[in-house]
Amino acid sequence: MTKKDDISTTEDLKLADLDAVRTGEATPAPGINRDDRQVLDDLEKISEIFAWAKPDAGEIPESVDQNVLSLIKDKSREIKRSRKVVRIYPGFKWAAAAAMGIIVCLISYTQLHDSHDSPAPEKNMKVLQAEYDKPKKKTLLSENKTIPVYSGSDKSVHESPDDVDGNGRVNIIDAYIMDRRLMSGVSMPKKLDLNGDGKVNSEDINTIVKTSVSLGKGEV
Amino acid sequence: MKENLTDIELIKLANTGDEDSMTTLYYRYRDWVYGLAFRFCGNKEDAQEVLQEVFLYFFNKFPGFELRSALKTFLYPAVKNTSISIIRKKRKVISIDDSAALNIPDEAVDRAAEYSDLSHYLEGMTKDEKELVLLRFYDELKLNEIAEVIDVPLGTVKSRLNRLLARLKEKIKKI
Repeated sequence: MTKKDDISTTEDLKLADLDAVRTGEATPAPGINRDDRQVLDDLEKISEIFAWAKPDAGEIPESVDQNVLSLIKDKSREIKRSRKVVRIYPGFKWAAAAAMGIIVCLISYTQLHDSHDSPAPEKNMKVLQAEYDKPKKKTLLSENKTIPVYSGSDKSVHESPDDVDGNGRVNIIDAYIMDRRLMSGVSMPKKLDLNGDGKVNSEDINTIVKTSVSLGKGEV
Repeated sequence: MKENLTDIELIKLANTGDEDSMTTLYYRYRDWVYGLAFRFCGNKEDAQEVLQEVFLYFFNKFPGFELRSALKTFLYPAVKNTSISIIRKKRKVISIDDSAALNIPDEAVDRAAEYSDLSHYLEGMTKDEKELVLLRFYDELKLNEIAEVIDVPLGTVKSRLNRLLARLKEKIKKI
């Protein structure tokens, strides 16, 4: 629906509607009567009075036109220049967007990495020093560790003192189990003092390892 | 020059930096803008300044300008506000209430009424009524353009104008 269609002729708004006909905004209703013609003439007269009363502002000086035309020239050049950049580098926008995406990803990754690994730059040395000073985790057969020997019985220890898990075979599993027990500080039966030095320690584990890897010696 | 093109077509070309289209738009509206500025300012020098300021404002909208209604309804508030700004600057009066800038100063409306016999026709009308009549007969805006400019529904414009025309009609009968 156009604005022209909005202008409906009703008795209440007759003058406004006829004024719209005067300016060409609306088309005259078919069968326009004499009274309406008279009203249209009156409206035309009002319009003429206002037009006649309009003061003459005079000609617009050439200098004003020149100023605006110069502005237009500059603006046109500016727009064309910016469009030329895009034309020369058709993928310019996409390349810029991709580069921006990569930069954002890199920054995010760096920040994430820093927040996990480096609490703060000034603390780095302290953290490294603390890591260095921290006692190393003891691994299988890593050091001689002496634990109290008790003379009680242990169900896991069977007839052969080497067979720690009591499965009838002396293998690397026995060495492993013994090492775990030593590490956790569990009291070990005296029987496991395999080398007879009066201590149950990693030397005894070595003995189990030697036994387990010796050909034909695995069987209890 | 591209006089045969519509405003929308010219604006589309102007958005691509077409100088001719911009020039055509300028010549199409410069007299109307100048006349309106002259009504508000009351002197040629200020009206010329307004004319340049308004087109500077308008062309700075490019590229990317979209015409959503008639161009006059875009230009009208620009002319009005620029005129008010220039009048105030000359007077060196700073208004505390900035919202006053949204309204046309009384003297700008009355100035038009002073010309010739218009004061007789506009006699007894409120400021808003005078402005409506001036927009219609002086600035030659269409009904829908007036509705957009003064931000009221088209039906309200028609109803107000109808009432004012009845009064004007009575006055011209007495001549």
